[in-house]
Amino acid sequence: MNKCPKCDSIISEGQAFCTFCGETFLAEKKQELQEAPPPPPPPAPVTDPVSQQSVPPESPSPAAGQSSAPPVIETKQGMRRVCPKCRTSAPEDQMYCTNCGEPLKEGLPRRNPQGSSRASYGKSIDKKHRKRIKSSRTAIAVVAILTWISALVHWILLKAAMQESYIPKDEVNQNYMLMGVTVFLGLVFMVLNFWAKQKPFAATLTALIIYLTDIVVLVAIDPVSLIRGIVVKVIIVVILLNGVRSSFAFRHGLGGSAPASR
Amino acid sequence: MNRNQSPPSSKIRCGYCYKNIDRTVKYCPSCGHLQKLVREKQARITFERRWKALEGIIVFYVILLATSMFVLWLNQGVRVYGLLVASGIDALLISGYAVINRGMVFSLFGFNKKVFSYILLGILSLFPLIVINMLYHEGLQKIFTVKEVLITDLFAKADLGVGWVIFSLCLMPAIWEEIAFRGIIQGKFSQLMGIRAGILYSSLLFAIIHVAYLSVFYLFFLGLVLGYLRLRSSSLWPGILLHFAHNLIVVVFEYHHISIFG
Repeated sequence: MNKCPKCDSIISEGQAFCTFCGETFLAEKKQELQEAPPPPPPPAPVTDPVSQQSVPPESPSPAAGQSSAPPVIETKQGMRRVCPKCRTSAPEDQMYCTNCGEPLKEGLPRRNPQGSSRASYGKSIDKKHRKRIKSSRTAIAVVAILTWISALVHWILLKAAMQESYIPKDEVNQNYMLMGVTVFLGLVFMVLNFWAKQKPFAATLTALIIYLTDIVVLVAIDPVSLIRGIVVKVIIVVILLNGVRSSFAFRHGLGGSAPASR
Repeated sequence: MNRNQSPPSSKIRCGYCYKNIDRTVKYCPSCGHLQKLVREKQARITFERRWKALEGIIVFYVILLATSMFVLWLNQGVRVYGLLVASGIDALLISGYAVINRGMVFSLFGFNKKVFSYILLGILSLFPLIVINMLYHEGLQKIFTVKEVLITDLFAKADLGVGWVIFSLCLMPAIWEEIAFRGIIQGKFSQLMGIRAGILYSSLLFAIIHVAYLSVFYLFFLGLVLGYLRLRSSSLWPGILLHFAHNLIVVVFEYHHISIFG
């Protein structure tokens, strides 16, 4: 029984490559590979690989890159090449290494930019989305507390008015009902604030819809209410909209892993 | 595209050159693109398109709410002519939005065997719905001791006959609300977030756009029933007929002052 010298996995007799790590066992081939080190990667100014012009793999242009092809080696599985970078073996007609993306034939361009700039970019996006979702949660809590405060103010004003003059019972009842609706609305926002921890998208979207409805209905009851605190309203709507967008982005697998397990 | 139709296998398509590749590889063997990056870019494009659709729904909803509220405010409360004008403007807005999404709406007006069986189901569910409606509203009136404004009385005061009542309270809402909420909004939300979310969000919008805060829960329930009919029959006819019959029975009961508790 033979063992791969690199990864210690069990291999059969006469095998030219390790099936697990791609290590070459033919001594002369190995030497040959080491003597011809891979050329330095060409400068890759393009940061977005997808926006690059595609070069048809069937007719690679010789001017596109300076990568030299690794030699073809005959093995039990047929003619194969070994990737010069990660030493994974591949069939002869394969254009690129499936493990690291290195070109395996003459004149093919390198597709994917090297370096960690990409990863740090993703991380910063992730941080931005998380921050936005967090601030939209805070905004929902602020709306809930403001709603409760407005109900309290309404109650105090009603009590003061009742002490000064007589108010018919129907009107008082109507005011109490309005207060009840307001308190309930605050409760809904508080529940949405907690729900946003588990399901940020559903909760922020619902909060945004209810808040917009609230604003429009209040304007219909009393048009002056639109101007009252319009700055706060616009800020809250923008924060909520950003929160919905960010959590929607998480649902599409953008900006790293989702903030909550789903 | 094709990825959704093909059964799950070990092969997938490269996100860049659309050649069949192994599911486990990191880089495409033919074009060398990092699959993670390509999929991320595709996800970003899908996300932007869907975000636009979502924004469109929110804007449509707010405009619909704002115009009806504005007309009602111009009439200083619920007056009959304001109601008629508001329903006319709503019909115009909704038909405009339906023309923009005509592909989605026109496919919902077909007839087949399934549609007739769901129309039957809708008529059968009419009786429990009416009972729940009366129990809910009369119970609330007992608890909160509020006097309900009877819209039919307003019509009688304005010297408008039964034909107008049926037209503006039963026929128009049944058709236009079904097209707007079950046709477009539910369809779009289902595309964006899944079937269950589609029914829930269209019901939520349907419930809060009526601006009748005590009936919110009943309207939400009604929206769920109508959304279920639309989902299972993939047609608007069962919903329109149920909605029309429901409104008609409620109006007739109101007209003759029929109630459970007396």
